[in-house]
Amino acid sequence: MASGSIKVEKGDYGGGGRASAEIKSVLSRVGVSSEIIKRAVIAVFEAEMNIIIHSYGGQIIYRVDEDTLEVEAIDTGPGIPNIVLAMKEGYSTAPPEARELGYGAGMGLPNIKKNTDFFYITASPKGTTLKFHIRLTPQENFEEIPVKVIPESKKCKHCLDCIKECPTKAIRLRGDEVKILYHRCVNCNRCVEICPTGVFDFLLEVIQPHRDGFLDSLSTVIIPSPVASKLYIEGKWFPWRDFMKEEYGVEVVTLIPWDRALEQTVDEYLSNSDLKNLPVISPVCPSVIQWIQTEYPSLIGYVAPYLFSFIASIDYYVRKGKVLYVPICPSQIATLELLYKNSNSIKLLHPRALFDFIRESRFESTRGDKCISALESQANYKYAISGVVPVKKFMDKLEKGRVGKELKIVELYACYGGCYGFPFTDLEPHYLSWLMRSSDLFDSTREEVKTLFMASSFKPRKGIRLGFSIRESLEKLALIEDMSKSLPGRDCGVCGAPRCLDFAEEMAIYNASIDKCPYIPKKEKES
Amino acid sequence: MKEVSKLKLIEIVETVDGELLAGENIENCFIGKIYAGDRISDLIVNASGETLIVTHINNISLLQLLELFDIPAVCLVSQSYPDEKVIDKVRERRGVLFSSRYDMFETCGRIYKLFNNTP
Repeated sequence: MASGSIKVEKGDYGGGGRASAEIKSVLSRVGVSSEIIKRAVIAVFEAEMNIIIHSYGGQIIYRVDEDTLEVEAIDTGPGIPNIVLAMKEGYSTAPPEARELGYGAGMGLPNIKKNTDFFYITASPKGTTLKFHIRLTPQENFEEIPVKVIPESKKCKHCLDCIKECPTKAIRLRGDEVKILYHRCVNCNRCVEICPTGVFDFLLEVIQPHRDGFLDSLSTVIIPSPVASKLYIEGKWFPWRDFMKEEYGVEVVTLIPWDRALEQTVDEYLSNSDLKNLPVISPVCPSVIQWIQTEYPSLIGYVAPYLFSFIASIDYYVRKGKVLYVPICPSQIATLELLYKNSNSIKLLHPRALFDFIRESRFESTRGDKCISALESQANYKYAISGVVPVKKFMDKLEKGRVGKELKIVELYACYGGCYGFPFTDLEPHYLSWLMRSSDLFDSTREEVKTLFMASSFKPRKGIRLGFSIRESLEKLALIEDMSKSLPGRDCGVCGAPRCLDFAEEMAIYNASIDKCPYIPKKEKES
Repeated sequence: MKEVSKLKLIEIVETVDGELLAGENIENCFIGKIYAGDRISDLIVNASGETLIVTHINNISLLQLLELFDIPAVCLVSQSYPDEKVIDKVRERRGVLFSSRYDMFETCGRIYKLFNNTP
């Protein structure tokens, strides 16, 4: 692990390249391939020159670990007025003196985008921050989505509900073992929500925050809007927040302003560019995005290029010190793992542990009186769709072009009722969200609230390979087709796979026995 | 950009009537690629450790390019001369720097013709 920071002065054309040179020498000492070094040097050099040409000065911070280079280029204004435009090749606002030296081709940000694996921007008149990652070992599956749901097979009573309900058909029952297929799961909460015996849970340790020293040395606790609103409705929000401040010196904040900032930014995005794909899918639910990457790659272009609000918020507060976040779905945990894999400054707390902690502390309820001020009217070009079944129907229609152009923005949520329907609440999600939308409790006009522009786009997820070679894969594919013909096609699920076709795949790849099919008579099975 | 099978640098210098500003043992220098352009962003993307770049840029920006992207040879056009610092840097890095007698169009044309005639 190596890291460093280099100061970059405004207008210091001659000094440009110092950060890139330092990072280059670090990478070559670590033994990174020359191709990747070149990518890194191009991206850092462009970022450096951007600070020199366009800002009042700033710095480049980098971190290298065994497989990723992380770079942050931070400057102090005047910001980028229109990021969508700035990302266009050839668009430049460089002054004449920079152009004389050969700069100002309008290729800076596009060049960074091309040479990095993950790249986002946040800009305000106070300054701009660019953050990008470069994978040091060329791995094609950088976009591989981690699966953060874990089944506990011994709780399973074989009701087969999850197998049928899983929107991407990712669950199998192999004997007594509940199995999640890692190339299909999109981390929605569906199985967690519907399982009557609680087989599924987040892949996140449930710990006791006050006993395990979790709250020490923290500076901020970030609470997602639905958790905050649940606490608020139950009258525990204010006393808990004060308690945390007094007892641990920790500031408790909500995501509500960040959610609203994203909403606003997507509205603005609609107005300022020549969008080809309408409606714009607002990036509100990481699970839906992962679903699009997995099953609807043709819809990737519809997603507005911004990062989820919880990432924007974490990205801001982590600059102040250690952050504790309470993820409300496995897809949030998966996203955080992709972006902050090696960061020690972010801790995650299971929502169940949070509720236990608050219950144990026995706060007196101080129910808020001024809960409802006015019901916000939803603009008519916008629509929210929630729940895996409606979302799936919508994406199917959109893929076939059966969604009218009048609909400009759509918010898709995998959970019923949006994030307010996360599995650890007993309240009706629409009621909860309606209360929150109309409450003036949470201040949304704070200056630091920003949206992160995601310059690199989401990539389609790679499917599973059936065999080690193309030949083997083709053979297996033929086998699957063959086997599916011998199955009854009733898709009953008794075998542990949701559809007959999936069972054929189970037989071809994982050697499942045809005995499990209840419809094939014994004699036939033997032959 | 043009990929060429190892071209002798001395032949290129001769064909553009170049004035050699820096470079030792140029007889033994070969390059594999030629790229002409005046925008830094294009140059850094297209240049590699065996590229000759043909450019108008003769200022400090050139210095950074040489340093960061291991560019072995630079051809300036229209008989322009760089800063003394740039020449020193090229010498220090054992690179090659020369100035063509002709403008960009003529220089590129001559070089193009040269390697297209090379079997």
